[in-house]
Amino acid sequence: MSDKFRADFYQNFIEDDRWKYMVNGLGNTIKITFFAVLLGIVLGFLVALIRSTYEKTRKLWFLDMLCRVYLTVIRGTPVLIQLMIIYFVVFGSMRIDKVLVSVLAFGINSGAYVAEIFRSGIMSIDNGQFEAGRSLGFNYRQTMFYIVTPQAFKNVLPALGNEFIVLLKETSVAGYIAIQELTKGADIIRSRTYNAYMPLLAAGAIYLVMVMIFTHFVQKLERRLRNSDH
Amino acid sequence: MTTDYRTDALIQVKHLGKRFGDLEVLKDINVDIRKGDVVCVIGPSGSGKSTFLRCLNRLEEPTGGNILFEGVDITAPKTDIDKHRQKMGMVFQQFNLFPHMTIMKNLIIAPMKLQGRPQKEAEEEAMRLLERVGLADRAGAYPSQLSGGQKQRIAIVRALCMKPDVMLFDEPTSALDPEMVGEVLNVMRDLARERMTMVVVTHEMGFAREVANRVMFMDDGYFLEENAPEEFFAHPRNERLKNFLSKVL
Amino acid sequence: MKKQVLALVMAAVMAGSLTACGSSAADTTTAAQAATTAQAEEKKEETETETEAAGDEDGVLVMATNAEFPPYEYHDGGEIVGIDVEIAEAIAEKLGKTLEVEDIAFDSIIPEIQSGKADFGAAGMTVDEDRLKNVDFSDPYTTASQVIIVKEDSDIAGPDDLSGKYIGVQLGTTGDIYATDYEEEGSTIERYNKGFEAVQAMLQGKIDAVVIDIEPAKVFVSQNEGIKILDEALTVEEYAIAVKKGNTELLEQINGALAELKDSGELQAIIDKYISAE
Repeated sequence: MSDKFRADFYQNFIEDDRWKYMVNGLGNTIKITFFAVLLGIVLGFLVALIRSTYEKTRKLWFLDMLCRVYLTVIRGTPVLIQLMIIYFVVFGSMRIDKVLVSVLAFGINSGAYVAEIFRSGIMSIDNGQFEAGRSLGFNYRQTMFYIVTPQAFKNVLPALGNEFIVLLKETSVAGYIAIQELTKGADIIRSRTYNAYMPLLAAGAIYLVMVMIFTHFVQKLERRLRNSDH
Repeated sequence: MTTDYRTDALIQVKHLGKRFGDLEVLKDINVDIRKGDVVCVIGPSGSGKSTFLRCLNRLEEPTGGNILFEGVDITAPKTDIDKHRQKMGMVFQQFNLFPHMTIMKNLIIAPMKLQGRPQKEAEEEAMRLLERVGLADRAGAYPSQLSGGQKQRIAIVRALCMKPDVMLFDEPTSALDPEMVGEVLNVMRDLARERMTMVVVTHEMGFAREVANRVMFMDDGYFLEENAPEEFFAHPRNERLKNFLSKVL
Repeated sequence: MKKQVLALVMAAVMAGSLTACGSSAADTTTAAQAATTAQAEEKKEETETETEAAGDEDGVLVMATNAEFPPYEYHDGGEIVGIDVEIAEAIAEKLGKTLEVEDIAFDSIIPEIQSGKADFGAAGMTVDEDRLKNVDFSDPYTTASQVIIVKEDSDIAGPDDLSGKYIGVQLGTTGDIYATDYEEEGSTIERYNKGFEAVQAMLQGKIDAVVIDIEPAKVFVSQNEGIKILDEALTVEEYAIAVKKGNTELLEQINGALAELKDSGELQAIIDKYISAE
């Protein structure tokens, strides 16, 4: 049994330097996730601000409408379809860096979910906080920036962490546009060795470890923020 | 536009009206508040007194009439209301301290960001005021670590840090446990003694009688009676006021 | 210890989900079959006596393939058809069995055979050393070439020009394996899940060339303007049927059937039916 294991391990990871498929893939997975998370936060934050501004003040109705279209379309279609459309249709006749395409697709996708998370966070802050800010002379934007969003961020941190875990795992479909991320790396090894279990288990374990590390840091951050007002 | 601005009138309210949909909460309010006035507004709940107060700094948008603050019509469409609000401190029933900031941060954020005061100066000023209300030792605490009375004293200090020309109090003691009411009223009494102009919506009749120089009774969207406190409480004329006082005194 | 438990749990979960996918997503077609009851009965007895027997007890042969590889296997209407499918049907007929075709991802075919979910794989598979470690191959039933598709105005004229270029392939195909050799020469290999996606990427200028089997290549070129197959093929190779390693009985049965089909000219007739002579 252990000889078989050793032989399988050798064939799947050592021979022909196949581990490089996993390592390179992991690199791309991390790169895509990291930048997509950043893009998702920026997009989501903007959309949430526009939407909650409209809800609070009835201003920016046109932008609010655009945001609602964005949310409906992005949340209503699978990320894989969005990825393929961006790669084959939006950037139809051009050579384009596929990591960039993936960052755009996953970032735009994540932005929609982050927006709703942020918005619910903003709306959950008591209106008295908003009024206290305005009564001191802060304008709408300053009140949002100094008073409402820092509290909202803390409230939504668990949901936000969850969204990024989902995003990390969703990048596994990036292989569809022939990008070599972690799952594709495992697929390539599988296609060479015809051994299903080793590469899949290895890829699964790597995702799991990444999620566990990430969860650990989110929990730490949560604790730190929670300590600050109790 | 009318220009009968009298030099001692800090706030002039003219024909102020406010309706929420079909509900007319304020009907033709006319009142002048002079520098150094301590005005207590009393009346049954739902009478519109809080709405009146919140219209003064436009936390509620008036639907009719004008409000002049220091001679400027702050209900005019182009008014930069944020500028004027810096001069109108407000204290809420629910304190509304910022829970994610320390007490000190609560006090200095507005002076620093809005008036461009250096942090050191803002902190010194805040400390001076904290000492006056007896809470200097809580500067590093977070609001959740404070009692209700302490929170409300901090909220008053937060408004004072902006060096306002008038202080608006919206039922400042209504959310407090009875034993904490006194400490907040004491701070307000001190403020009145320093000739701070104050508009106080309250149920504290004792405070009104003792500290105010004008007491106004509001019901059904109108000011029905106004007088100096002794006269107001000793010889009420309006039937509804008599009825109201008989219930609360 | 903790890690081992974890690995076990994950293996169980994954195996479970693989099975679920396999059975729900697989397109299953049953080929009509002229076997007599007697033959089937006879087979059944054989199966029961042999441990590594061919096929299921009920006389069904399950073929794993990836039906995105015309003309060897592809969807036509509601059915999976193609050269491999017809050859497999002919073999099943010779063995007195009913053929079932399972359509799964190309790189899942061999695991499917290894795990016994399928009896054999026929999917335009080339014999190579890595694959031989995991499965046994029958005698080759046809030859095929890996060719290079480029745009008509491309500066790539032959295999030597592929160095340093962006080459599109279908993941796990022979073309992928051969093209990967060019990575050492600075080429970038883009592995698409489907052959036509690689061709589409080339049409859009995202990559320079596509390496793929000659038969699907012909189909792609006939369907798209402005692309051509280079005269010089990258490789010429032989296709064979894969069975579970050590299942010599089934392997011999298949080889026997293949030999008969070759001798009778039936095999060539099937190929000619799908591939028009040049």
